[in-house]
Amino acid sequence: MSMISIRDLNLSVTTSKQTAHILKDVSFELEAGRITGVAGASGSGKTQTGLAILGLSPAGAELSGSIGFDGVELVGMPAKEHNRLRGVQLSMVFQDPASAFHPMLSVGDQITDHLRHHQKVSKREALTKAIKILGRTRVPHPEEAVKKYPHQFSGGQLQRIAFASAIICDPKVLIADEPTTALDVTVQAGILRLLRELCDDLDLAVLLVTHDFGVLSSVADTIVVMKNGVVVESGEREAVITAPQHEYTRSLIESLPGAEV
Amino acid sequence: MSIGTPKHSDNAPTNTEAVSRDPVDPGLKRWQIRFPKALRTPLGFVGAGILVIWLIVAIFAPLLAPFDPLAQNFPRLSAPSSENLLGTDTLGRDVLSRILLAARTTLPAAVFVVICSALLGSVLGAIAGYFGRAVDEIIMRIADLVFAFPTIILAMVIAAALGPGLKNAIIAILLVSWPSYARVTRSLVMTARGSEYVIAGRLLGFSAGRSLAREIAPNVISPVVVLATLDVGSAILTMAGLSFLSLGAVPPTPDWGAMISEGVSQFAAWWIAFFPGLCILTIVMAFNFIGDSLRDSLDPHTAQEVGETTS
Amino acid sequence: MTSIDQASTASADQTPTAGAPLLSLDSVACEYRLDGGGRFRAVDGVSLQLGRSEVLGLVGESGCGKSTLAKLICGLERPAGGSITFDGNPVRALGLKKRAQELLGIQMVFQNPYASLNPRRRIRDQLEDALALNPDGSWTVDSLLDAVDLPSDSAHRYSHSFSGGQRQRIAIARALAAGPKVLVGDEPIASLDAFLQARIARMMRDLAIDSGASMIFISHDLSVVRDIADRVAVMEAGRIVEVAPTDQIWDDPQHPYTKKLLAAIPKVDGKGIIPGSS
Repeated sequence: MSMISIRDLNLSVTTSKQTAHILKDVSFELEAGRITGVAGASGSGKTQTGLAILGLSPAGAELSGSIGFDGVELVGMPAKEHNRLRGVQLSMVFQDPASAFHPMLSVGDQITDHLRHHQKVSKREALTKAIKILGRTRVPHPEEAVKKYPHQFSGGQLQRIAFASAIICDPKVLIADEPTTALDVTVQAGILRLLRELCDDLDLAVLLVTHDFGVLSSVADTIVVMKNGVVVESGEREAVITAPQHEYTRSLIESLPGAEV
Repeated sequence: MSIGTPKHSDNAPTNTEAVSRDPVDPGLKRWQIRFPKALRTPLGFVGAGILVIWLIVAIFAPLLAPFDPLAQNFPRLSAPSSENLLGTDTLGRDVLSRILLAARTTLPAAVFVVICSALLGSVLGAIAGYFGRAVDEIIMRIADLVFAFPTIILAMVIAAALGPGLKNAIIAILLVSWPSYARVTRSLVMTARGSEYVIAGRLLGFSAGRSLAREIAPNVISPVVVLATLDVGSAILTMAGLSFLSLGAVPPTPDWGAMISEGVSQFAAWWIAFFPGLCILTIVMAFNFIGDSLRDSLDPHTAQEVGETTS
Repeated sequence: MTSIDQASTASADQTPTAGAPLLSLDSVACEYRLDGGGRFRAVDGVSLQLGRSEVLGLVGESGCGKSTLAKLICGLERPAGGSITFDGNPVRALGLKKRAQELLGIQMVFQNPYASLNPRRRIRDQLEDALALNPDGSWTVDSLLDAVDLPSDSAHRYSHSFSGGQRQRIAIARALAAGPKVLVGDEPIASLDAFLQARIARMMRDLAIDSGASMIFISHDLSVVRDIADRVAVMEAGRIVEVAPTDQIWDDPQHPYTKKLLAAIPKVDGKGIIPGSS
């Protein structure tokens, strides 16, 4: 079932001098229980697509087309309504876990903040839920972890905490923007496994933005390749990787080190 | 363009991306084109306008002044009239003529003292920031010592010790105003020193002096220029303050501060103090406006907004 | 631990080129003082040798001390023990002094292309500074820019008008202009797009080897290192755990840590297999 349906999405940003077309007629679907990987070089618009779903497009941006979410239209939705969805039904995990957390607040406070804001639960209940969720994302010793501060965790653990924070309100859509890029390769595998599990168990529709075909090859179900704001190719993982149709996709895969072509 | 060939494959998208991000033409030197641009903000316009008027006044003062500023030709303490537009002072001198000629001493003196203290302060600050350790401790503790006193009090003490006179007033202000430049430059240099481009220069065999002059100076100069512009106003005020206390320009040389001091004792003749005060107000304001818009345009965070409002 | 040390020294001795190594590290150590008062040994008894016209890949995860090792080689850190010899000259810590003439043959390309170029100086001026070190070399500003695939009108521009990949190529050009004998790349591709990484790495290798230099290429990415290095040294927690020719590391890793690193690299085969899960 399609959870998010993007149709002919256009995004342009006008500055004093010129208008830049960031996204041009982007169309694809996110389905529940599936990971849709968006690949592309920097400046291809892959991150902006994710931000558009969350209603976080940059100032001065003009959005047209349609993003359907569970029957609701997100394009043109008033900011207040979008705020109500974001963090609850639509959630996000960023690239750099170290800068995604406030350094002076405890982890427990930070991951329960939006839960308490949106669902009006008591602090105690929220903390109980936080401990449960941290255990779910395999953060070691969750009871102690909620009392600790971000600097006391490694990058991989912080990213697990970020995932916990993202799923604590039982979202339907998770947007993960380069979630493993800042991590070591041995840590990356664990985070990818976590992403796969969360997607399968919670029936999440996941949008995984990455420039790493290795990551896509391991976890994505569907792959969308973008270039300069245009979707050049999309399809099932194995088909896109082993038999790319578009020349650009082929060049990207061939440019990888040790590509066995 | 063929995408399959790796050559230049990352040039095309990233070039457009860079252009859209930065409104400044990359071919031009940043701070050269931003100076005039900075003054195109509304406040910058007003500031520059006032300053230009004052510069013209200072240059042509002898031609503009209706009378000899030192001649005591008129009745004492006469109110503004058609003959003496701004009235006369206690010795029967024309206030307007005195004000105009005072611009010739005050303006250059203020600009000179600011340039000197900015140079002295930033050189000392750069040395402290670059070499650190004992050098840093010595320079910055002296700076702290100066910071510990209110500027005007310390300037008074120094000027009093050196004796009255414009030259000594300038020295006094110089000695009390360098530490703020030292502090700013020191922190900027400390940041720049650890950055990779400075280290890359050092790996190319740059000496400390060359490293400071070539790699670091271009990156710290604009905040210092902004600070200096904002400081001209306060230098004029301090100088006026010293003159007010008879520690600045020696009578009968016309000076705004000295005129205010004279006017204060003649409360009924409000024009003696009011008009020089107005002069100081406009010029301090002008420099602050210019400094503010310079700061906005040189700061990368606000530079874009300035660029947008002006184009 | 002793057995590992012996293994690493033994393999380090098998330098492919004959004669004295160009760069030689002998049980080098480096310590940082911690805020709490203790000491952290970032580099712990590293012995390595680099031959002429050789590319040595140095791989390891963040915090293993590989960047500190790069700084030690360039004289930017003071070693707590051991010695580094470059072309017969001892490498001493730079401190605040001007760098010794005989050590100028070691140049570095840094990780962050956004910080390694001076934002307020034209590209030409920055390249000319480096060219001045090597007046007999055949490089000119134009030929350098051409070598790194940048248009020659880049010379009068400032770094802010270039993308990360382009900046990194300028940084490579600057390091090459000085006519180095050893080019140290400290994670030079880590902040670039995956599609650019291999290309920039290959460019670095080709330019270094063509100009007769050797290269130490530091990276956390084994697959890129495999592409360009002749030998690979694997570093873990301040120590070199394995040094071997690249193919040998790849096909027949000896140390468990090397095996773990290799196993964690996701394969681009479209099979949907997460590394490490079987």
